[in-house]
Amino acid sequence: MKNKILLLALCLTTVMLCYSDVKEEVRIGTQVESRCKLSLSTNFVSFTRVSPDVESLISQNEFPIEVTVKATLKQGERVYLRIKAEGDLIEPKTGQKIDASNISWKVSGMGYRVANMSSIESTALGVWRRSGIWRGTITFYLRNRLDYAPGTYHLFVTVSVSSF
Amino acid sequence: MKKRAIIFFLLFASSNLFHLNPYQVEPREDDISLKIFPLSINFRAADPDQEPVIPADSPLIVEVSSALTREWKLTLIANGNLVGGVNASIPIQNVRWTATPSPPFFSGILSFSKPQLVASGYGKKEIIGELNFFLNNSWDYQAGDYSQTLSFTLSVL
Repeated sequence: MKNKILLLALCLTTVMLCYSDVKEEVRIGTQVESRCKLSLSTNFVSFTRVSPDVESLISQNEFPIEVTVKATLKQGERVYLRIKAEGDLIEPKTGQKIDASNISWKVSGMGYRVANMSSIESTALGVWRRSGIWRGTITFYLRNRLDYAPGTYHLFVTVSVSSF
Repeated sequence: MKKRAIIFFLLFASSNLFHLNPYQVEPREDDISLKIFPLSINFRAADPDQEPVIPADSPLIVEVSSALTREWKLTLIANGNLVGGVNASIPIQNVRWTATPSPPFFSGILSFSKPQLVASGYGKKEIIGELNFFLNNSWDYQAGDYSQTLSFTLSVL
């Protein structure tokens, strides 16, 4: 009996030696800004004309262009990748033109879109509704027609990315 | 009656030995203490390509003092993910810290499910440590202002 009493007393003493915890709270915060970026693997493509009877659509000579759009968006925002021709294809020596709408493209990658080039208004190359990194490829094509005058034609196009 | 006297004597003697009130388990102010400064830190906005990891604007200075010849430990748990606006959150595992001196302080990664060990020691001492926090930056985050509360707990074992 005496041993039991001593054991009980020891247990109670042990319980009493458990201290309360001491606590402190710290607040952490961060600001994430809306931003977007565009990168292209090249800024030049070319087409080599063949007989329109053989090929009605001429693919660019180069490998597909690798496109990367990076975007951090607010809730409800979208990021737009757009392309616009700065005029038509022009042969500088003769002044001959090929309408920019004869250029089209194919794409790979989520959110990328197929369309035809325009020198009047920018065309959507891709649209995304949430933040992330969106990778894809673009391959340009030129419609082959019999009425193109011989020559070397040039065209500048602008590819832009914006969010709103 | 004799048994009760023995129990009371043992309780009284042991509680005095450890400076404890037998009916109270709160530590005396000078037994253990925890001081942290500042009580708020912030990660500024940055381009994820240029700064894949964002350091906090200030380190946390942590002061632990124990007047007890007992083992103690300091743990840290987040009260949730970093939360900002409607349905926007950044997983809290993207926040980590480095600690000096090590030991008794330890580096770690934040969690809201399991307390993480920040420091541990034994005996009467007063130690000061510095915790530097870092946030993994990502393009995947939704734009906005995020915040969360971290709870530091100093326990005597």
